This record gives sequence, structure tokens and C-alpha cells, in this order.
Amino acid sequence: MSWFSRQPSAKQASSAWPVYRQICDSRMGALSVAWKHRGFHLLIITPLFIFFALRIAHPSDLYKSIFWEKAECQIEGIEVSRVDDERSSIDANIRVIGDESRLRRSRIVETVRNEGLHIYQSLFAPTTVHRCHVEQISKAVIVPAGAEATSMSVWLLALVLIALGFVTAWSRDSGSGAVWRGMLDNNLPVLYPHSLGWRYFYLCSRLIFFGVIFVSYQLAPTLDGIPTKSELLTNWEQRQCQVQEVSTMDEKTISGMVVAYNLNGREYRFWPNLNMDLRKLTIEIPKVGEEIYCWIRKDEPDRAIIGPVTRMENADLRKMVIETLIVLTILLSFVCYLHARAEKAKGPLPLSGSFDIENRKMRQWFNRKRFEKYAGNPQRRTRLKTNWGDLFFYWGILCITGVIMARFTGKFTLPQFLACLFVGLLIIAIAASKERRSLDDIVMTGFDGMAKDDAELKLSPLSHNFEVSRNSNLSWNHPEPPADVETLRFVIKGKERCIKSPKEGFAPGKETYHLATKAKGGVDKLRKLLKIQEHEFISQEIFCLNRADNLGHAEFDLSIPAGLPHSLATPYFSVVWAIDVYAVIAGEEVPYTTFDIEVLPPGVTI
Amino acid sequence: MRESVEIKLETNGTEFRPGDELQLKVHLGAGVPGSVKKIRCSLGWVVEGSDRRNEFCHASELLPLTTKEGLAEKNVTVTMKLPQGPLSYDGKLFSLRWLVQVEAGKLMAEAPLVLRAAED
Repeated sequence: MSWFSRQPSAKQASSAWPVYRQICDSRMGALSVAWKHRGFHLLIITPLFIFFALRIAHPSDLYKSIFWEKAECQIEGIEVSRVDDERSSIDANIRVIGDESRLRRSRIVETVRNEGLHIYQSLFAPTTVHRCHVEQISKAVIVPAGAEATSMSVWLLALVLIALGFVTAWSRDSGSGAVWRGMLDNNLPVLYPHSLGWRYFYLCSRLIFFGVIFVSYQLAPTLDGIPTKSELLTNWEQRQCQVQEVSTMDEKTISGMVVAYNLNGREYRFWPNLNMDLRKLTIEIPKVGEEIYCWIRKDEPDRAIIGPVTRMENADLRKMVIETLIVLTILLSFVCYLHARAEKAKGPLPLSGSFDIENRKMRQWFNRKRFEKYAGNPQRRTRLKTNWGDLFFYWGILCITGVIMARFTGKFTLPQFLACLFVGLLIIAIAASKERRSLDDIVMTGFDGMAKDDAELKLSPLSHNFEVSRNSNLSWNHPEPPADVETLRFVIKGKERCIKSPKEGFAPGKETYHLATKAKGGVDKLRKLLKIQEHEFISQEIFCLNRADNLGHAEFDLSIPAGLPHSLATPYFSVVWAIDVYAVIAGEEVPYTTFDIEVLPPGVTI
Repeated sequence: MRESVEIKLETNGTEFRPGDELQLKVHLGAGVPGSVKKIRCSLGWVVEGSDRRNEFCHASELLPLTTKEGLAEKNVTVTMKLPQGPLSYDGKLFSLRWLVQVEAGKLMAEAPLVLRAAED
């Protein structure tokens, strides 16, 4: 497609130079790369997270949907030979109509642990039509009635996670992305908030998040399959049931039991879900043949539970705690989001006002005031600026994710949780490190370097724009030049630059690049990351100050010869100009500082 | 009978200064299909390196044509003002070229031009 399709706006078409400025603005590159980051979140992290969540939620469902063939079948008869409660497995012969030979002598592995009761029940109700999944080789898993509903909740969870993926991706606006864009908007060096401490905070927030998940999961198991008291009184009815089988761990602890009841002339048997709290509690163990009360769901007569109403009341309480937690985390995340947005709106903070240009004076002044407000302590401001908002926002939404997951997925064992936790942490650690890897290091180091220099250096006039073929006056002000500097050399340099792999915030021709190159080893790192090619078309000394002169003050002229290219900044190609200052210390020349300058075409003024 | 779109710069040479007016004549050949609803003339610049090409549109306008008038064998004169920059550049790593393009459906014509500083 030609560039015909990219029509300029009326504003763009109405003026010449501003159009160029606008087009060349590196935000074009920055935005496109910002979308790459979001794409990374959406396409890599979110699906991984969903996969992770689904794996926790219903391990077998996910795999069944991928690896198993789904088929309607009818169980004709089942003979149970062994029931292993501890391993949640049953050995049985199953006769399935139409597929008898394949499924004879199958071992049913109860992978959906929560549904163990139903599987067991279904074994004793062989005439019920079930949906079963038949693996092509030899195994079979019987999915109990109601499994489809469970799947719905899993898909709902997946949708929630996708939505959260979007939110987390966008939340970058309150974090590094915003800072980068702020830097570009101002076209000035700004403080970058990603210190090492910040990263630890970031990591801690994830750890806290998983801590919340853990607690939630510890609470959640007791909710599974247990209705609240109000639901119990509305949708369930109490009946007399008979204990048919009882197994115990010791004299006082029950490990399993089979209870039967009659309904509409038919006998139903069920295996009460003796989850951990009840199993480990010392209760009065019922005897075989004893009549006990059980609750049967009115619209699902094959679903029954046992237990006193106090258990339901406990469930009420736990459910209320979790729901309150959900509401609180939603509120917390919203407040934190607002906080992050407010911090973002304040804009970036420049390190110094050494560079200024006419039409940005007000903003520069404003930023300087803010700088002074924080007593010139950039790190202090840095910590306050975005970190907490960002931190809590992430924390909040991740807490919501955790709690929702806990609410929907029910119980799972500690080893499973720890394994998932490890995988999750690994994924997040990789993602976090990928996002901010070395680019931050480079820039941070670069800024540190600049902070020392710029606190003392001034370049005037307050402009860094030069016009080709026209003389410009420069004055050098250095209040306290180091005593060991013998000579200062001012060298003008012009380079073509080609970036093959631009990253967010890095556009050729912008100060960010020069700041980054100030870092020790920064150039190499940056070149490697961005795949930068450079060609220096001019490097010429324009002025030299000796110790015998005044190293702190000088005035000199600069004229850029006609025929040389002017500054140009596009997302991938640029022409950059800079005045590098070299110091000769003990006979050795070392880079001292750099001033980016912009060289305009003749006759162009900003 | 010409079956295409052609651009002819109405100046001597292809070199221009910032702020110059660019006059060009667009010839629409008989082969321009009647289904073409819009004919657009655009001025823009291309930055091209060894393995990448970025295109930027500076200005664009629809030619004053309607389908009722018929498109075949028609000459249209277009005037556009050249901007202050960026100037044409031919470097080692990349080059910057100015182009004027006319697009009529699938037919396209292109004419290069050079934007140089007045002092050069």
C-alpha cells in the first residue's frame, strides 16, 4: 500500500514545518512499540495465565477438551472392585453400550476431585445417562452430570482473566510506559522511577498477590459443594438417610462413608464430601444402618449432603469474608488506579533546567519548581511518583484475580498449589524482566551520570537549535570546574543513525539516546538491544579551553557548514547532532559531557 | 491511446527549494476504469535504508473530478506548496527522497523530486 492511504489531518496539511516536527516526533515509534508491549501481555502473558488458571481449576477439563474425544455413551453396568479414597481413584469394570470391548477393565482416575461424590454416585446408578470422554487408547473418564456447568464457570473465569489481561496491559500507562511517553512529550531528560528498590517492590507485590491466592484457596475448599444456610433452606429439603458404609482412619476420625436415601420409589446412594475440616474433626462416627439427617437438593434429587446446619453457617461466614475481600480489593485497586493516574498527570520531572527552548519555558519552569519542591532529591520523588500507585494497582487487580479464581475453582492440594505458584512466579518473573530488561539499567545509569554533570553545567543561550550556514553564539558556564581538568575540548559531531529494532521510548535523535550512551557500557548494550548502526559524517573540534584560560566561562561561535544534513528523527532513521565535551585530565582525554543540539535547515526557526 | 496515469512536473528539472510551489500535470489515460471514484494526488517523503522503508505523507488532495465528467484522456493541473523540510538527503545508511504520487484505483504514477536548501 502506498502512503496515499495515510492522509494527513487538516492541521497537518495546513502548515509545513510543524507537520515535519509532528511526523518526525519519536512518539510514533514509541507508541507502536508500546503496542508491542501490550501485545506481549495479551498474547503471551494472558494466555499463559489463563492456562495456569484452568490447570488449577479443572486439570482434566482442559486436557480433555484438547486430547480427548467427546462422545455420548450410556453406562450399562459397573462393578466396583476397589475404591481408593486417598488417591481419589476407583477400579471398576465398566460396560458402556457400543464400546464394550474398549472399556472393559478400565481404571477410572478421578481427576476432577470435587466431583468424586458424583462419580461414585453414578457408579451406583448405572442406568443414568452420562456424558463420557473416551480416550482413543484405553482410558476412560466419566464426567459426572453437571460437569458442563462447571465448564461454564471455567470459561467465565477465562473471560475474566482475559479482561484482566487487558487491564494489566493498559495499566502500564501508570508505570514505565507513561514515564517514557512523558519523557518524549517533554523532550527533556526526566527521572526514571525504576530503581532497583522499585523492582523489589514490584516483585513483592506479586508475592503478596500469590499469598492472597494461597489464603483464598485455603478458605475456598470448605465452600465447595456446601450451600449457604439461606440457599439450604430455600432449595434443599431435609430427609432421613441411612448409613450404608463407613470407613475410619482411627477410632475417632472418619475417612469416608456411603449414605442412601429413597426418593420416588428409587434408592439413591451418595458419598458425602468429607472435606478436610470434617474429616479431621473428631465426630461421633455413625454406625452402618444408622439413620441420619441429610439434605437433598429439590431440583437435583441425586445431589445430597450431610451435616449439621452449623456447617452451613460457617460456610456463610467464609463466603461473606471472601466476598468482602473481593469488594475491598476492587475498591482498593480503583483507588490505586486513580492515584496512579493522578501521579501520571503530574508529568515527568526533569533532572535540571540546563536545556531550555523558548516555547517550552513555562513547562520547564513548572518542572523546575517541582524539582525544587522535592529538595533536589530525585530518588525521593521517584519513589513517591509512580511506584505506589502502580504497585497497588497491580496488587489490587491481581488480588481480584486470585480471589475470583479461589471462588470458582474450589479446593486443591498444597503440592498442586505450590507447583502452580512456582510456575506462575516464573512466568511473571520472566515477563517482568523481559519488559524492563537492561533498557532501564542503561537509562538509570545514564541519568545518574547526567545528574552529576548537569548540576554544574550550563550551556547558553537557552537554545539548542542551530541553523545550517548561520553563526550561533555559544557561551560555556561552568561554575566549579574540577581542579584536575587541564583542557576542555568541544567537538561537534554529526551522525546518521539507523535503528533496526526500536524499543519503547528510544527514538533516534532524542536525548534519551545520548543519556543512555553516557552509561558505562551503555553504548554497547544499547546497540545490541536496538541493533543500531551509526555513521559519523562529521567530527570536528570547534573550541578548546586550557587551564590558562577560564575553564568556567567562555564564549565562542559555531557555524555549521552548508551542505551538511540537518537533524532528522523518524522511528527508524535519524540524523543526530551533538557537542561532545572532552576533558584532558593528567594527560588523558576522557569524555566529560554531551549536549544534544538540533540543526535546522536554513531559514527554519521554531 | 495511453492506458495509465502519468505525472509531468511543469518545471525545468526536479530540484526545488523549501516553500516553492510545485506544479504538475496529471494525465489520465483512456485505460482508467470508470469505476474509479477518487483520484488522489499526494506529496510525501520516503526514508529508505538497506532493509527498511518508511513513508510519510505531507499533503494530499483529491483531484477535481467527478465520474459524470468521465476520466478518460483528461489532463488535470495540480499545485502544491513544498514544505520547509525535511530536505532530500542521500547518506551512507539511508536516504530521504521526496515523491509526488497519483493514485487512481489500482493505477499509480510516481514522480521523484529533490528538495534542497536555498543556500546549497
